[in-house]
Amino acid sequence: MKKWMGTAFTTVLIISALTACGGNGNNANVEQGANGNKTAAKGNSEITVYTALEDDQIQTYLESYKAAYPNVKVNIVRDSTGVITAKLLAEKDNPVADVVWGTAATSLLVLDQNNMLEGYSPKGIENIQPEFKDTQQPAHWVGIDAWETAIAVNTAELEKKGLEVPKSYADLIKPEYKGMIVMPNPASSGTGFLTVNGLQQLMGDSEAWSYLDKLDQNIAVYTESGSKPAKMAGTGEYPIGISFGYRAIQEKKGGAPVEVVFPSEGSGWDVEANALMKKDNIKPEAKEFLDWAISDEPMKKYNENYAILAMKTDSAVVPEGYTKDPISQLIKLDLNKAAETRDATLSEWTKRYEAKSEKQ
Amino acid sequence: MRIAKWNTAFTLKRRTGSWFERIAMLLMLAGLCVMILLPLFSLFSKAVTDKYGQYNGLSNFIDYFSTPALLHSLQHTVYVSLLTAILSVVLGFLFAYALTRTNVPGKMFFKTVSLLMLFAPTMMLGIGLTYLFGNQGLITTGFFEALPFHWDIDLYGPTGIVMAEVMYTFPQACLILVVSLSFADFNLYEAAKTMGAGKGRIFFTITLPNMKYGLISSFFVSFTLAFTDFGAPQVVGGSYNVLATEIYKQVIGQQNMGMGATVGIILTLPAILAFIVDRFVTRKQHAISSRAVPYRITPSRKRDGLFLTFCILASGMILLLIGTVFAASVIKIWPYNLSFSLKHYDFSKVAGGSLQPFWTSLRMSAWTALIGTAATFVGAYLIEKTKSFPVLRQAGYFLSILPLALPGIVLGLSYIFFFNKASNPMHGIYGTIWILVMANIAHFYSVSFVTATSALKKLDKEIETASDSLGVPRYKTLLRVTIPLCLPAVLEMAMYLFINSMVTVSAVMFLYAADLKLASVSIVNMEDAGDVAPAAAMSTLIVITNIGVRLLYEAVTHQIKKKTQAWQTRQQ
Amino acid sequence: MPQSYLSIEGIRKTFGSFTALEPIHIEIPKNEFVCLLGPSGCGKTTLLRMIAGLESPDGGRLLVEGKDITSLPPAKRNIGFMFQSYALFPNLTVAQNVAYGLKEKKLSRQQVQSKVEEVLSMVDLLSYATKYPAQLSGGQQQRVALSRAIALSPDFLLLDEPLSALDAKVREKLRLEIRRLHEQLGMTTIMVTHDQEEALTMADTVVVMNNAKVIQSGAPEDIYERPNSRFVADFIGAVNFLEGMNGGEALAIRPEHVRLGLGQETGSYEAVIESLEFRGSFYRVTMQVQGPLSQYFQSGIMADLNRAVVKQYQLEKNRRVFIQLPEEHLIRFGPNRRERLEVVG
Repeated sequence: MKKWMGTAFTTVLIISALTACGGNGNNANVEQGANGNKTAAKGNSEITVYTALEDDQIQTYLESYKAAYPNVKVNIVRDSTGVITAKLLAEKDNPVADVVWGTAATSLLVLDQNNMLEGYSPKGIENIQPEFKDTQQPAHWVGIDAWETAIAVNTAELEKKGLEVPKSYADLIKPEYKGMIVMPNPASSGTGFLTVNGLQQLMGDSEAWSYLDKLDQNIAVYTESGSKPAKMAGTGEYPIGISFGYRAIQEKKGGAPVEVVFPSEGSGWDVEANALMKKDNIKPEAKEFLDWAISDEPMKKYNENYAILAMKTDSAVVPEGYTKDPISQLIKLDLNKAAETRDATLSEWTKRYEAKSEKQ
Repeated sequence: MRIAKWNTAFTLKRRTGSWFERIAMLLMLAGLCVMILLPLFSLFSKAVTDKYGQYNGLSNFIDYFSTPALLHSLQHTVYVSLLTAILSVVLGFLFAYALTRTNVPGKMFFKTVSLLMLFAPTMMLGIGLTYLFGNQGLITTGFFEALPFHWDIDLYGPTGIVMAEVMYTFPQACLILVVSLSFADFNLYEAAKTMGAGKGRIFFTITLPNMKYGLISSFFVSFTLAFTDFGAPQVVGGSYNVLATEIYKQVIGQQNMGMGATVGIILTLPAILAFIVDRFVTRKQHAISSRAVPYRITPSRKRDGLFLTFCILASGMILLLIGTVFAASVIKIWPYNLSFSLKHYDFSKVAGGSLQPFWTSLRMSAWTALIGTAATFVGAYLIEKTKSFPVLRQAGYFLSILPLALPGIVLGLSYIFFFNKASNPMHGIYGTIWILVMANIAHFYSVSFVTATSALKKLDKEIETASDSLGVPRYKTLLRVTIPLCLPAVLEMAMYLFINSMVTVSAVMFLYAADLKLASVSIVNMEDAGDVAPAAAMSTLIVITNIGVRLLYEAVTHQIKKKTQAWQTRQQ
Repeated sequence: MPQSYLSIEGIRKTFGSFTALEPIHIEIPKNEFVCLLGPSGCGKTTLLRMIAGLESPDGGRLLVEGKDITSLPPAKRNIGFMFQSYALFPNLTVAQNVAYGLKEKKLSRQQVQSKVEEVLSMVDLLSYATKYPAQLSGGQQQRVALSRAIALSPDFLLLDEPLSALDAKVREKLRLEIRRLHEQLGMTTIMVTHDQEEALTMADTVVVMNNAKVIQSGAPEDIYERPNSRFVADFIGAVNFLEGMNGGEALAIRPEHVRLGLGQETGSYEAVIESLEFRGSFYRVTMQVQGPLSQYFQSGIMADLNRAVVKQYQLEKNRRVFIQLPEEHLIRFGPNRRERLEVVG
């Protein structure tokens, strides 16, 4: 019997060992071996970072951080914009997060209105364009990039049905697209919110709601995630997906028969921004993380995914997948107003369209 | 008189069971309380507090029943579960009947196929259905326009959920019904025939009444499983909300813990009902007479032909579904580029993050199997074989069976409430792999407990007393005699715990830490983000692992049977 | 009476509302072979398990040579216990089973082995040492259990229905074997059985129990010839009851003591043969007594007659005969025992 128990125990240990090794190479959260690096003397510490950045981007972004701060363990909590916002608000009295990274500025403004953010101007804040950072001194939030509404359209499926590729918001409410459009739920998705908010600021409140009512007629389903509509358009599950630029371009690059359409009226947008959480014990590592998050290395990486950087750049190159300077595609927008009306907008939206939302 | 009574109590105390046993018993009870009872209390107390942690009585429940959207989710869930249970029992009955009462060829094959679904997370069933019946599905598009017909069943919504749940609950219903169909007394059939009863009359007067408890039990099992499942509605539910996804939304999406707990309690009601019915049914189900004659299958080509067709269709559907998921995981871009590619197995570019969740799941499942088997077996041993604290043993038995009534999602929620309090001395395990292991052990405790108990019941009752009379400490006899004799059951428990830990999502989805994402959870995340093909790939990995573990189990069991043949055969 | 070795002083036990043992008093001399005899549920097994220390009494004391062992665990009582089911460990070989308790003692490997060989050869099973229990016949398993029980050279050998699971032939052989081992090793042996024949043939002393009480104890002949109660008379061997003869006194007579003749004599009763049952070495003849005396023989009367007598008298059904009940063989329970009779009857 002892033999049996021994064997079973050894098996588990081996599995544990193997699986632990299997993970080492590709997990941001597992520390790398220290080799006399500059922060090694500080010993081991950890910070908790909440983020709404895309899963597939986080690992690449963090590479340069890990190289610079090998001894800091970063606990990433990743979820959609709506969930991260709700989670932060729910933890208001007892915040878990040290840092919020790459989360919609409209959400950070809500947190700030709740007095949950600590002012901190990270090193290099002067390089950030004024419209992409907080106006207060020290800044309560600092942007890293902006993202915007884009429509992924599956040309193969539309061809089969003999339909034109829609070019504008106005096109999307044409009756021939009935049941073909997927859009993210603004309550959970940042992309969904910036799209609805963009429409509101573009058309005015009542006009926007009557437009959304008509759009609702054509919507097959509202998704939880802002990426999913683009991916669904990619597989043709639903041919038209209201999503954001990066994701739609990724689908096209991956080989799906997708055309990326930026609506001719202009795109709603939001800033992916960072902030320091107000709590009793603010760790120096948290500030270091914020410094790093707007430094050159990660900015280069953000740029691989987002055309519009918060940083002032001289380059006039039109990024891959775009037909013109992406900034000109953005509509005029007041982020503060968006944050103020966020709650009202979401409850109005929920009241009107919840029934068609995925899982609701 | 009083003195005599006191004296009795005293002598009992003095002489029943060793110190070692009594301490073990208390530890086990403490463990069960921490694992099951206390978290449940936290859940109940959470259900009567508001968003900000203030006591608000039943207002969450009042809110729930006065919010139409929330109430809809209850109606939806009941509707879907009822339909699932009916279909599952009917199909399971036909399949079980084919396996036990007909001469259909290839029974082994059909039986194996029917069990395949137990190795898959329920999200996989949804994913499979998406690839078959979704807008770009194999069947919807007539094999990508290769066939002249199209068939759109309008998958997303109740249709998809019911299809997935039926496939999920079918093997479970089938297992129960096979057992209850196997217990038949052929004497009754012959007696009925000699009295001139026709086939229909025999079926309704003998076959059905004989298995009524099996039918009730399989109905409730199917109903409860469908009622509490999260994975399938998450994938194919579309805009059709059910309770399990509602909890997820309340807790994760809106961080409304109070309402989450409220819905959790509502979710538990049918499971508790099923639990009571099952207890009742088990008690009623009397042992079959020792003079019963096993059922003899009469030859009938027509009957066999019909049942063979049914078995082929049912197995075909299961294999088609699994095969499609496997295929979709290695197809470059479904449906536009059908060339072979392993790119979906590189999870670094999708919401899964990496292959890490798979390794974490493996590690967690291995620990669950090891610790869970040991804990459950010792628990069952203490309750079955010792004499200490008869009242506490009863309590222990109840706590051991209770998890049968607890949906995973409810257990997971209770764990957040209980362990995520900074004041809890066990707060430290929150966010580690151990809370996942613990939740899984609690979730799957009852079934392995019952397995262990029935194995122990089969042993000679005097093994322990024989050991006492020979002056050998009981723990030595446990190690040297009892456990070796129960080894097949022990292995079965380990396999059961491992496989279920690999596929479960409901109990762990609230509990995993960011760096401990699990394979099953990553399937949900990937599917959520629209990365369906990688989700299919991850499902494939889980199924293959589980089939591997099952084969390993079969091989080891076979070896053990061979080695221990000398002491297995009983001579009269 | 020889000096008491084991004293059972007022041992009692209840399970909930069920009384398993009323306070029991028994004195057992050293080296005796004692049988606890009684119908199932009479408390005999409970008593045996208490002597072994496997159950704890609610009250009373157990003394061995005057020392109180009531609260000693089984391991410290130096007993060998043989279970009704044998409780052999199925996954251990015969030799491992026998060595199981020995390994707890501080013995060398050699000593253990030679002890195992010794006891196995005592029961003639040495050649089966490496077999598993399931590979042996019932009788062989019984002998393994027996040798396991005696391997520790116990002061007491306690046997719980050791022969009940065996068929008649094997049982008879093993009776002798157990008795032989008892004499050879000189232990005090206590055996529980419900089979009166087993008790009478094997025991030095028989303790008859019923309804949680000891009814009678004594040498087998005493118990058989002079049962103190209707219950004992009926439980041990066949018996005819004579109701209300001699002014209400209950009398009984064993069938083998009933005499039979063809002609009327003084003190004989007229009877008609109702059935003749061939029992191998004798016939059991059942008769109905005729006339007014029949009221004393309400359930008829049995007589065991040898074949020669049956042949000689040409006995057959409906044949008229005369029976005699020899005074010296009449069993009297006496008026002082009426109370017990009522309890039992």
